Amino acid sequence: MYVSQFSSNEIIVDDDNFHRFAEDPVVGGEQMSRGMEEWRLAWGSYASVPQSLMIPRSEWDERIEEMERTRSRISDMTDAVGNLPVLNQNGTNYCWINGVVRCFELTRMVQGEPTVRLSPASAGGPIKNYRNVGGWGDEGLDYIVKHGVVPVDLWPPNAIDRKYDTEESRKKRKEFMVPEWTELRPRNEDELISLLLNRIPVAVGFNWWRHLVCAVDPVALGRGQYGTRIDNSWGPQWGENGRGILKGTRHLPDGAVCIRSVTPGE
Amino acid sequence: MSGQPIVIAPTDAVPVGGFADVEIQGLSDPGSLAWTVVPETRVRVYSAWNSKDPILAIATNTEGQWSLIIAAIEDGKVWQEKVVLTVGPPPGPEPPPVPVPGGFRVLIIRETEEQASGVLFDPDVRAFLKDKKWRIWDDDYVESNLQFVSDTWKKAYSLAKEQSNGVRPWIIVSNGKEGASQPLPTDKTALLELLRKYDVR
Repeated sequence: MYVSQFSSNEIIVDDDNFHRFAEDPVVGGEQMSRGMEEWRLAWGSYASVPQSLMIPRSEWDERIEEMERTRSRISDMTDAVGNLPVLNQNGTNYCWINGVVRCFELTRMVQGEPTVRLSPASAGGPIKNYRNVGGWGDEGLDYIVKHGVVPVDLWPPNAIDRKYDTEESRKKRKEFMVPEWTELRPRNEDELISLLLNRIPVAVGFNWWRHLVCAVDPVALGRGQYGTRIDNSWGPQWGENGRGILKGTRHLPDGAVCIRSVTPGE
Repeated sequence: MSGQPIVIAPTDAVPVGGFADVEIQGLSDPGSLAWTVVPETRVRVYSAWNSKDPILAIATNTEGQWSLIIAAIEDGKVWQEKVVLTVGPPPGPEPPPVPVPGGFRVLIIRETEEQASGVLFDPDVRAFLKDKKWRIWDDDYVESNLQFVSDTWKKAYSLAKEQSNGVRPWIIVSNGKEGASQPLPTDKTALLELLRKYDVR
């Protein structure tokens, strides 16, 4: 049995204390609550994670121990790169697109692409007709798959403003698209942990939190219990450098999508 | 005919998977040539008779060492010669020239629907590659996916797809003059050794 070690600064959200975070006054954003049946209606059917990516539970402890010992987690890679701090939705209701864009940035990093900061508002704004409202990760990803996302030098990250939808930004967003992605089954821990063990970050939305974040690492809690380390989108001042741990049933997402590869860049 | 026949055979180990030629020069009666292999193995010997000097082509499909006994009639007597042949292991992946210009570059292609090799995430490997030109790309990219990368990367991707023959993950390393194109090493020591070999500054 292996148990992950956490630093004293890490926020840990579990089944006992989640109410405190669900009512967190700094939330500012919301993931609209969608029930299981609504997810099925929205997606029609689930394009589940390829079986070839699934990792049996019997191997989870050993693999988590190895990736922590070798410092080869997504969070380790992010720290080593040094220029990819967590996003900050800055009081907007755009957590649902910040989480997806964070997955995009991290997938670029894993793929070896140069760091380019991307604008969540450049995808969320057009989806919501430039209204500052909640949404879902799957609709955010669907838009990025079809239209791409714009770097922050052409579209500020939280600018929900159509004035940035210029000829130049439309052209540029084509360079930041998603050829390969996967939708997870709601509340499916096997798929979530398997993807994270493969260093595929997952945009995870929670009804209890009315929030969406980016899951980056699996963590082992002992006695067959697991959780996830998340990159939140409330800036680096939240938790430890913007990261926290979700455990218990709190880490099982009601909706989740991931990006397996991004458009190659120069 | 004066003098003894001469046997010309490979002196070094020959690789598995081809033919080793043994030429016998100076036979007065090539039609009397006979041969055998000791010990008996699945080694097969083919002969070429369309030249004055016979050539025995030995199929090197079996690893090991064995003797080829050649005999012929010379001056009414039996002439005999033994040649020891060594067939070595299959050659390792020969790094073909990878003329990818533009300095040190590394491209790894993989199937993102398959589990990733842990070596791709190793901190030492990533530290070595930091600030260098390197990419890990899905092997299913089509032309439109590559429209924003330079011809150099396109060429490297094309080479990797051609030379890998479906083997994944596959790596191409190039320093602009020479390089390697081979399956991705599965341990970080071998991978770092490969990267350093071509990272000539």
